[in-house]
Amino acid sequence: MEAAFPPQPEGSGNNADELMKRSDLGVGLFMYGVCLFFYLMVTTLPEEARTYPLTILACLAVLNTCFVLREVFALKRRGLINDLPDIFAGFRAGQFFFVLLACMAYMALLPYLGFYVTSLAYLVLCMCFLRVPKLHLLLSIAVLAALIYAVFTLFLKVPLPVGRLFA
Amino acid sequence: MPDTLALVSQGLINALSPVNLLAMLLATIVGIVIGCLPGLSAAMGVALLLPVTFGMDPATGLIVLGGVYCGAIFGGSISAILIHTPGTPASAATAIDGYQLTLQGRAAKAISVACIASFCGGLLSCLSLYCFSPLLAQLAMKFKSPEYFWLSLFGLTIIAGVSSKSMLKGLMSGVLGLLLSTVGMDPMEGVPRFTFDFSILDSGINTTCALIGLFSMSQVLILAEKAIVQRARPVDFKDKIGLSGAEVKRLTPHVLRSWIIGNIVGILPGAGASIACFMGYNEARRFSRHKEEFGKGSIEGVAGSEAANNAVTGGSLIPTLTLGIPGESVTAVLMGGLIIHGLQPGPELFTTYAGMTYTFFGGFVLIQFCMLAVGLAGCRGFAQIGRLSDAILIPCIFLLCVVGSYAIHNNFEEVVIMFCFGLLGWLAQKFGLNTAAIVLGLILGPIGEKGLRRSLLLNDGDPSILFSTPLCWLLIGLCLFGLISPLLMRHMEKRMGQHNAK
Repeated sequence: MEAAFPPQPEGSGNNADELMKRSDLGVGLFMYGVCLFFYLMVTTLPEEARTYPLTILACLAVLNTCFVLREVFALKRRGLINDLPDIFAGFRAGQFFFVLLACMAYMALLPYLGFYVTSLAYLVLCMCFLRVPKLHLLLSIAVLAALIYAVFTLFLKVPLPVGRLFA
Repeated sequence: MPDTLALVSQGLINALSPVNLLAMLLATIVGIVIGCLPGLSAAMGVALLLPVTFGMDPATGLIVLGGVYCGAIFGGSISAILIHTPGTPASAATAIDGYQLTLQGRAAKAISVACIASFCGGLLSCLSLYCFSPLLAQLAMKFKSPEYFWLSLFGLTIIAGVSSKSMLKGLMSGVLGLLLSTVGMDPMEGVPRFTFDFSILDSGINTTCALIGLFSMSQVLILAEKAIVQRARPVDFKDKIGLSGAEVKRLTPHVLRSWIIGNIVGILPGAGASIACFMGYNEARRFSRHKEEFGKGSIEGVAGSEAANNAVTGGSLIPTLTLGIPGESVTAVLMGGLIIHGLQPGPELFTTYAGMTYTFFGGFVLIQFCMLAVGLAGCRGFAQIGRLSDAILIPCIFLLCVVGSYAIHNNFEEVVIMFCFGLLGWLAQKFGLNTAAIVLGLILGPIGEKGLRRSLLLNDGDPSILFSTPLCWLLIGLCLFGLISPLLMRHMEKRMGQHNAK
């Protein structure tokens, strides 16, 4: 069953919450990375357009520093916990990266093969990989194609890409 | 007053047009289906349907989004009751007693209670929507540039603070959203910022793309990382749908109490249906004369939880429409829909666009009736749809994300932006950042920036204008409240947890 009660908030007395988490270290580094990247970009802007983005950047840097300091204090007080196995518990790397790569391949091929051809190939590939029974696969493709054609082509009159190869 | 009554009645008449009725019926069905499917959220459904509303009249578009919202909140209870897995977090409390009733062979009774309580909660929340929205909009009329700056900051502090486990992470998410909102032309200087020479970014990051990415594409990745499991077959129920007079009498006080709870929770930015359902459930137990039934199959528990979570829907629309502060992620997406239709939340919705607003309100009332009829008539069918495998959902949702983001401007680059936001949303959810706060930062960023820079421009760069009116100070006080409120919420949650444990 799903959690029957709301999750316990941080700092509610659970010891694991008072430890420094490895994932939070990543969050801190990511935010500093974002700050640095945008800071370098801001320096290329004209003087008069810099103030507002710099203010936001300063806010993010201050908040992130507070966050990192809190984690450092937690490290000193209680130590470090590697929560990554919890975050990625049950993570199916093969399945996840296959779907991710299929999505990226779909977007790369879409301008060349057009919407319907690419979509058909993507759906068949993905559903076969995810072991969808053949009948369900055919039904899903038929329903989705009809839905997209009715809503986007007939109702919204969106010209879906036909692809450079077929144009 | 007569003007308001005329607007209300005209809105109801407009909402009764065949197009609107068809739109709300279809949207409610889609919403219930999305709600039934564990793993799919109301926000995801609303984000996915945003592009579909482009070709519609704004009122009809909003009715569609409202239908999906209400339908999804109710739909979650069907899988909670029949397969013990809440379709949405808002139905987590319903699962406790709903499934026990199913095990006793009273599944139809549980669904009837859930449906009727949801209907009552939703319908009564419309009353608050009609009563409080114009009042709050009148207050918003007094807002000028400095107040708008503080208002956007208030929206950000409260959602970032309340809806995250860690307040710092919530605030960082909000500021990250603000940073992303600076992409595009500088509103005062006309200089492109962080556009990387992509002309599509000149007008800023498209909110719809960001919404679809953060709420729908990220869900694809979340579903893709888990093992595909066959969902439990729902119990085939044979008992009669409906309630007796005695049961209606027994449930009425609980529904009324949960309505008030849900409304207050809905109006408070940051608190959502998932909190309201537990509060409604707990209060139902506290006031019940049959406390021993709770946890073993109490219809009062189901009613308390469902009336509260649906009462949130109308309540949460009040700050969204009047002040532009969405209470939770679903209303943030709804607000995005409003902006896409060229409408800015605020007093103008109740003056210049009053016709459209009251048509939406009228539609929102009728959606509750749709939900009741569709829910009672189709619960057996929805229970079967709720078993749809993630293996089918993953590629289908991705395709809808692609076509939806492409349809905005018929531009392929926006699909790539949507995908990037999908990755960001997935990472944010994995590492405890708050996607709702990121969205809010994106939406409120331009409003806050304009407010701040216009104020400074008017006062020759002197920031004292930001503290010049009592309203500014009121909003500053509310910002501080936004920062303190997480402590209060935690205290409440802790007490509720202890109460439940007892």
